[in-house]
Amino acid sequence: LAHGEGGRLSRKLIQECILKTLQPVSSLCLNDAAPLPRSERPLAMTTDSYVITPLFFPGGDIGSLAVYGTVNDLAVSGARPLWLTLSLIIEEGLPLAVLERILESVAQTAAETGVQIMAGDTKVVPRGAADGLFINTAGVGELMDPVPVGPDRIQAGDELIVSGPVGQHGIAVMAVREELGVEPVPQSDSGSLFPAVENLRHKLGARVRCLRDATRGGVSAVLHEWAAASDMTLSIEERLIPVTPEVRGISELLGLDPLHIANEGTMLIAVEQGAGAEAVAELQGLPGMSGAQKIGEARERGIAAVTVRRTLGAEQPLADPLGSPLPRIC
Amino acid sequence: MNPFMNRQAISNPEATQVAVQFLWNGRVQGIGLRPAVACWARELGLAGSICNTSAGVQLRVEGPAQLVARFEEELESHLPTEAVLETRERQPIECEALRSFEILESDEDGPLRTEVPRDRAVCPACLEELTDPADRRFQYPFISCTDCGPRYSLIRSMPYERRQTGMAEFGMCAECAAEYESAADRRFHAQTIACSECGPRVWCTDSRGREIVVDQAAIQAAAQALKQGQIVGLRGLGGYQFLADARSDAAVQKLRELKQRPAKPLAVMVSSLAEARTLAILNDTEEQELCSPAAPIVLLRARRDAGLSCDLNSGLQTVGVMLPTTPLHALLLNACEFPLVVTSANREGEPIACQADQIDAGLRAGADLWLEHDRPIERPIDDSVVRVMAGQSVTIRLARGLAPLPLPIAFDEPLIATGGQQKSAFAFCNGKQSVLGPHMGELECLPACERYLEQLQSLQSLYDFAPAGLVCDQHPDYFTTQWAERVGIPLEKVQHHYAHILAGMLEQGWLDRKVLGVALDGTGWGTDQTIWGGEFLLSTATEYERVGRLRPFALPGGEQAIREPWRIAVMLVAQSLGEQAALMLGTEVEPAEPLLRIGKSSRLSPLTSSAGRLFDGVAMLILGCRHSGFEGQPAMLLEATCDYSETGAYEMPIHEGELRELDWRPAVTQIWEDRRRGVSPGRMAMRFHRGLARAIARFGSFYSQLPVVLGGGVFQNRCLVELLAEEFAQSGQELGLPGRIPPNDGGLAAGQLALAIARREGRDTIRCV
Ligand SMILES: [Fe+3]
Ligand SMILES: [Mg+2]
Ligand SMILES: [Zn+2]
Ligand SMILES: [Zn+2]
Repeated sequence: LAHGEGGRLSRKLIQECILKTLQPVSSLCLNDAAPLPRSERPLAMTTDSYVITPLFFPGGDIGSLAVYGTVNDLAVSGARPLWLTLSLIIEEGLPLAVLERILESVAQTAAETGVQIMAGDTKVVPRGAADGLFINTAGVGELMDPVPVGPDRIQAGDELIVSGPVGQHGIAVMAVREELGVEPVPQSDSGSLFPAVENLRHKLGARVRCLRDATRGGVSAVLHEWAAASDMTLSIEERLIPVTPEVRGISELLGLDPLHIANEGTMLIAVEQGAGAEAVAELQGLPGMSGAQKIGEARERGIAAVTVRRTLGAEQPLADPLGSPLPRIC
Repeated sequence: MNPFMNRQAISNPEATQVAVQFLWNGRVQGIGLRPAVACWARELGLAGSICNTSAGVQLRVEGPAQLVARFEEELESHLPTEAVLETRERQPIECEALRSFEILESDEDGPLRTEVPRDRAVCPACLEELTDPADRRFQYPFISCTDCGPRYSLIRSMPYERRQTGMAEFGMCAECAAEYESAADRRFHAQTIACSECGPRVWCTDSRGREIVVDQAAIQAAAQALKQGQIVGLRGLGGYQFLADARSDAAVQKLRELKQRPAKPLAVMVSSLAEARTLAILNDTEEQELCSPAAPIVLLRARRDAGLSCDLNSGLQTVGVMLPTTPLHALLLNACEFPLVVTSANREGEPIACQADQIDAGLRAGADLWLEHDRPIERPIDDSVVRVMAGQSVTIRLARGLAPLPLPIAFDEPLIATGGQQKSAFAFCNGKQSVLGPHMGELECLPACERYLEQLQSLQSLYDFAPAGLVCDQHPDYFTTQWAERVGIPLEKVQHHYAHILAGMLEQGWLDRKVLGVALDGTGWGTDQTIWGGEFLLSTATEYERVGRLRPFALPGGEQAIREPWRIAVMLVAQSLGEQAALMLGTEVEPAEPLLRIGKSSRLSPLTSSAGRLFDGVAMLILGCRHSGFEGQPAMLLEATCDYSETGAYEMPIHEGELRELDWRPAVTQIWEDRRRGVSPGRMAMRFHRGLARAIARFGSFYSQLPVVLGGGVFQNRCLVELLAEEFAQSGQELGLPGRIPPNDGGLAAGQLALAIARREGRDTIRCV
């Protein structure tokens, strides 16, 4: 692809390609703004940008990620995802075939999750100004009753549940990026959380305190955010945390804690005390959620915001590293 | 002149009455100073009083001028040898026509000026009474005197008075009271005085906490259990301990499992110096350390034929030995007649338990029998560890008997230095005096972090201050840094290795000089996005400039590389001999390919100039240490391997540049060659140590006018320190060796505090070259 205002040909190419590929899931109009149907329920809106190297990874690509990510942000906020926007920032030189594959993936994921793509934008930037392709999506959904109360309402005794094995997305991406050549190839967990959220909330109603997709920073980042919002100590047990053997092996090789590694289809859920077992049973019965586990609970605030009881030994504060953790052993 | 005194002089010229008041500070409490002075005053028939106050010891004496003069003249010779009078004020006062000399109750106000007395192991005189059937304290496990017994661990508040210690709960019987009051008795004003009539008692419980037997029978039962190879839990002086037969592999193994401590060395306690000599080879300094009132664990060269379980210190040629801490330990050792493993009764990494309810069910059930007593433990404290290097005692762990360590710096403003993450210890200045607090272990688990904060609180109230400023390490993930950031009072951060050097400067009394600091350490937060640990720092008390470092290498997988030193070896070999050689090394362990790839990612593999990590990698190359069983193990094994008859040295050139770089690659290449040629590990290890010592000395010669100060955990290595001492003795350049302040992270807080005070005093703000 060539860049530039004069590149009318390429602009046309892109538009044709986009319109053609997204046709089944879009009401894309070439006007400046898309009208949205009237909704009887309050709406929720979110946006996120997707930047990932490589663009394709085992279990997904930047296109599916851009849809799932925004859909999941709506889902964990208690909304049914309805409409998306799609903005592409393309680095000059990206093969058209690659763009096509990614758009197909967007279309397929949108169809799967039942969202319509309502508006879009495309920019081609010079070489080096972007890394292949950046995608931004914004999403709008209808809030469903009851609206989850949010992490500030987490109370002592609340139970913490993770919806599946942790760290899969980050490990899958790192394994290809660093060319680790491990077998079996670890797969990203990239997927939609909406069906699980809907079922869980249908079953448990207001006993679901809050939900959050454990993306960047992994389960640890969500726990730290929730602990700060609620002023509780959130404590989890290492032996209860589901981790696949592939993820365990690679994170050991890389010296990383799966709790800090990103997920793209795994969420953390806080439920009222006593509702944990029911929530886990409900989740485990849903497709792709068989790995759901209760991993810990909230208690009155101690000296550490988040703690983890390691398999051998005592309870430790769980670090909230700024970037990658740096050795502390002296 | 005092008019009142004049009038007396006129009325009775033969016996001019005078009165003098003294105020002393320094090491003046908890060492029997007041009774000694009272004795001397009463011997001369003088009246007056002596009193511990928060301002120091206040002494007033009055009587005939001649006698008072004599009293003053010979006073020094009547003070306990432990006494150190750092400040003394003297002023004449009015006579009060007193009739007797009294030891007065103390007043307490304001930040503490006096030293907090440290715990003292049972003394020879008490040990003699303990084993004398004619003595009324025969076999009484809490025998003590003005020379010995618990102090720091028993003190609730200062000044040191019985009513302010855990002994307040025990009223004295008539006989003890008489001894306490009698100036002639060696227990005159011994605050911990007790006997079987009135003092603490011992008893045994089974692993479920049910009482079995009491008093002598309890000690016998515990000894019996030890003889049968069982584990005994003991309420010691500063916390609960596990005891086991040090000769028995099975007992030691059982203990290791219980403590979840698979590899780290365990110390032994023996009944006497003579017995220590059968286990280890001691020099004079080591004997002095062993027999000192602090009675620390002394790391000694083990004798091979000593009969100790080889599981105590697998592969290391050293053994940690200590003498009985308390009479109770002595009685147990006498009853057993064999050396005992003595270690704290907690799982590895957890803080020492000082209350019965701090021991969880698993550990309680793990010991076959518990020997309990009812003397309170007011302040938990571990056993100290020292090692003699180049003829000098070096503190490896500052704890019982050595902490709190007075530091020769002070400032008006109360300050706290938080220390590091491992071997944690804080230091503080309360506005009157500064101390380095006791070792509190790694701050990895929650109970350890809680203990750290609890002790910080507790020592603030003992020394009576609230901090106006804090100083901490720069590492953002240290518990101590995160805590300091939350407090919300002025905070400054000190680079880790500079703090090590400052601690060394403080040790030497060189805070007023400019020095070349050599920091050889594990991994510490650098200021350039890399991990430091082999640094040459031109330093003053307020500033430093990094003038050299070890050539950096990657740590593939961060902390994982520290647990698996073979990863480091792969990186060293790849840099020195190329990736083919590294892949070959991989065939000895596991494929090196993924590591080489990870090693190229700055995200996954931080760069480090750490000397400790270099030792890890070299230990893997020479000894095949694929995993590290505990922190520092590969380096310890490498030191233990050294063949002292080897005189060769590996080459480690120093490259010029903006930052001089000590290049270890030729050494690694030579090791690679020597491995192939079948050179013994002992010779290779020695060549590496000597090569490093020479390189450091060469670096020193670039700054030959400056003294060199050592800091960092690598200097717990005796072989390296002694080689350095030799090298510098030859060159004549001044070298400051480690001493009372631990060279490892246990001393960081002292360095941090020194900086905070120096900056506040505006002392030496000259920029480094
Ligand atoms: Fe250090
Ligand atoms: Mg998001
Ligand atoms: Zn004594
Ligand atoms: Zn008595």
